[in-house]
Amino acid sequence: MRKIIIIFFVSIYSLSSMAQIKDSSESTDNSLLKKLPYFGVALGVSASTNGLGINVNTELTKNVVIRLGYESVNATFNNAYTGKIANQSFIITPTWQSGGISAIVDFYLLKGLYLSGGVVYSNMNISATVNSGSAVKIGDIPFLPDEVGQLKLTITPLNRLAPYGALGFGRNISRDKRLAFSFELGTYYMRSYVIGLSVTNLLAANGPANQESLDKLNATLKTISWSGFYPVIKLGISYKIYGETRKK
Amino acid sequence: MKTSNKLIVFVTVALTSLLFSECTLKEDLAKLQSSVGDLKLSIGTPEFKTGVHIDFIDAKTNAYITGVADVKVSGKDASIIYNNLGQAMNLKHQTMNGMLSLIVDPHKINAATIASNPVQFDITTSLAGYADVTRSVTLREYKTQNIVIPLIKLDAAPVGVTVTDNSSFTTSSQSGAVQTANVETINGGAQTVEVQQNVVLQDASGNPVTGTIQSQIIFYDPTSSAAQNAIPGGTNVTAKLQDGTTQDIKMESAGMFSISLKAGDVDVKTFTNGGLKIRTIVSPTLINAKTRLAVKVGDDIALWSKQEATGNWVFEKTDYIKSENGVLVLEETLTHLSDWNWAWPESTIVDGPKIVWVGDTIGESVKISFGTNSITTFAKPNGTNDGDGVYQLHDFPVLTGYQTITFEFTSPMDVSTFTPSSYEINSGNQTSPFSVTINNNPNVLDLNLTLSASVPSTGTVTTSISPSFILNIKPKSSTDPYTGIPFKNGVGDLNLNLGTEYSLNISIGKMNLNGTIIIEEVGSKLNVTATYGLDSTPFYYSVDKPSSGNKIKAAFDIPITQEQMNLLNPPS
Repeated sequence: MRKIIIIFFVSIYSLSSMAQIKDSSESTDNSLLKKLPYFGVALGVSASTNGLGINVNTELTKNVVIRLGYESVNATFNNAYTGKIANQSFIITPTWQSGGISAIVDFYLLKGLYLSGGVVYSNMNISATVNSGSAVKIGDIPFLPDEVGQLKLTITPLNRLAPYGALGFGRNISRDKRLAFSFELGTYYMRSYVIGLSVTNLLAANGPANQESLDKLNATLKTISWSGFYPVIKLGISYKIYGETRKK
Repeated sequence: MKTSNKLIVFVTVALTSLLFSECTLKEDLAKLQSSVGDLKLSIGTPEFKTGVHIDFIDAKTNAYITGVADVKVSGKDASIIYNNLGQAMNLKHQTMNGMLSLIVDPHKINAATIASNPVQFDITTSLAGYADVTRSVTLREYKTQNIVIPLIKLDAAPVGVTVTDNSSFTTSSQSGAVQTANVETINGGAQTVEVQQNVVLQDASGNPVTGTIQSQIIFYDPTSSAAQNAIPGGTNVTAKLQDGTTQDIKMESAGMFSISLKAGDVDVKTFTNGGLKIRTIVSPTLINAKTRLAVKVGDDIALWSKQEATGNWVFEKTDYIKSENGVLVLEETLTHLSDWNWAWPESTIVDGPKIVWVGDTIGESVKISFGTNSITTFAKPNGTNDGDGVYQLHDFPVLTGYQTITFEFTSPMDVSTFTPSSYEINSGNQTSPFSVTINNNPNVLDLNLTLSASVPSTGTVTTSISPSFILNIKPKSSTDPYTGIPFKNGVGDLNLNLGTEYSLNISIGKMNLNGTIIIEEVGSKLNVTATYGLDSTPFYYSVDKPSSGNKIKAAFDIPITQEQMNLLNPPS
């Protein structure tokens, strides 16, 4: 696993170096264009593990771009898994809710390679709802799954206001043309995950019965190094709406 | 290589190291697995909102019956009646600790319409050594109704109830014809039951009953309130009137006979070629409920017979009080056997007095006593602890003229006072609401109790059951019936006095648990001690004394056997 990751990052480095060489030659050929101001504004859209987003990207200097964005995803995968315990079927429905408002600064190491840092107010709430898959007989009276109730397990951040760091390829605002593309690998750090449990009807006793155990589990999560990281893989596209383009 | 390229290499390697070189996934997962091992899966049982909780007591001692009585459910809505674990039991249930809780299938009732479309069924109770009882039950509210069924012990009947057994009342021929006339006398001849020669005895199918005829005759003295309270099914009954309509009435008795004749196991049900003559002396001090005056010669009175299958009464004919040798008497010849009652019917009000509870929010149970009756019910102000704030008496007798009934309010748990402590109901206010204020005694503790039961297991995830049930509780020294406290998914609130030991009973389906609970003050702590089972296994729970208020919490997980778990959560 570690080898694959190292190979991956070496590959990124190679691509970045090639981009840098190309960028250098282009810069030499267009030395006059260097005198144009770098300031510009682009509107962008993105798709990431944090949802679909829109953003406003402002290039302040040659190396610094500020991004203000909003992302959101709220996808429910109905009846994604059906299982059985002791002849009683159950259905799991996961819900992926994430996103949030972000303020991020990109520092361009090269024309097409950047490091990002910033904060996001995360809306993360990943959950799995467990419902009975069939009617349950209590004595001789059948109760419908809705009457049996449901058990909902949630993962939320300990801190919704979380720092963000990433390595990006491409650009979030084009320097030469109007259109730009980007690919970003990063993570939010929300200090820890918090596991929650909500229950209804016949399963309602699971809430109070497990509160102490949940508290202990959440305390354990706080001691785990990777707890609280939210991985981000992002593809972005932007269109420069204000500022000079270096290639007409 | 340019400086910037070196920087990229540095950042890349640093990030990789930072994120992954300290990875302790295996250890982390072990820690998580350990934490998850503490989680338990808890399963509840439905909270059945509508039902009836029945206390079966000895009519003489008012103590719970100690034997296990068979309780058969029949009647219009019998098919939707279950025990409190949802088991139909083929409509044949058994009492536990002299109690039984029956519920109505929640899918078959509607809270909005139950008042106009009540649930009606009959319960017939049989216990060796006691007279059988059939009692009609009408549920008009979306809640649990408490009723008390007194059972008459044949060899220890209450005052005013006379039981006479005769193993050789008479004999009958192969045709069922009585061979020897006989008169059975009761109470020194104040009542008689007489059969003439050649009267033919038949069973329910019309077949002759032959051989030696045993008799059991029970007479209920109309001047004895204890006897009237012991009448099977009570005196508030559903009856088919003279005009053919069926109504809920109150029967004001002038004398009631319950007669059983049988040869071996075959019951006599009908007579031909004559019948069975019953006769009773009527006390001249008895008040005619129709005229509101003492009875006199010529007063008319209805004779009613009871339908065994339904517990309903049917008008048979009008009799007249006559004078014989200077005493007032009633007599009639019966053509079939059941319970027979000479009684004046009094109309009842479906929706009688309505008590509106106000005051302390935690509320508790209240014993409402009126006349010779008493009801123990919840007294919870509106919007608290599932309380609906009111208690309405149904099928209340219509009061006329000078009549009054005084309600008295007491706390069976001795944790509250009620203001007013008594209230007079008369013809002017018998349908009006009135308020009663609950004041909890200052030292009462509000114990939020969580009860669960589980089978001890070495597995990673424990399964426990947190049922919904009625916890029956009373001060251990009290001779009153239990007070029922609803528990939902194992959680309920008890109002308890510090230092008082209480008896507990929980009956769920076919499982029955008895125990005790007491809260004692030890320094800055309150120790809750509960026991259960034959060996009184103790459980302890200690909490800090609340710095303000009176609310404390305790939780007990009761270890049970797999067999007991199967009773609570029957395998499908």
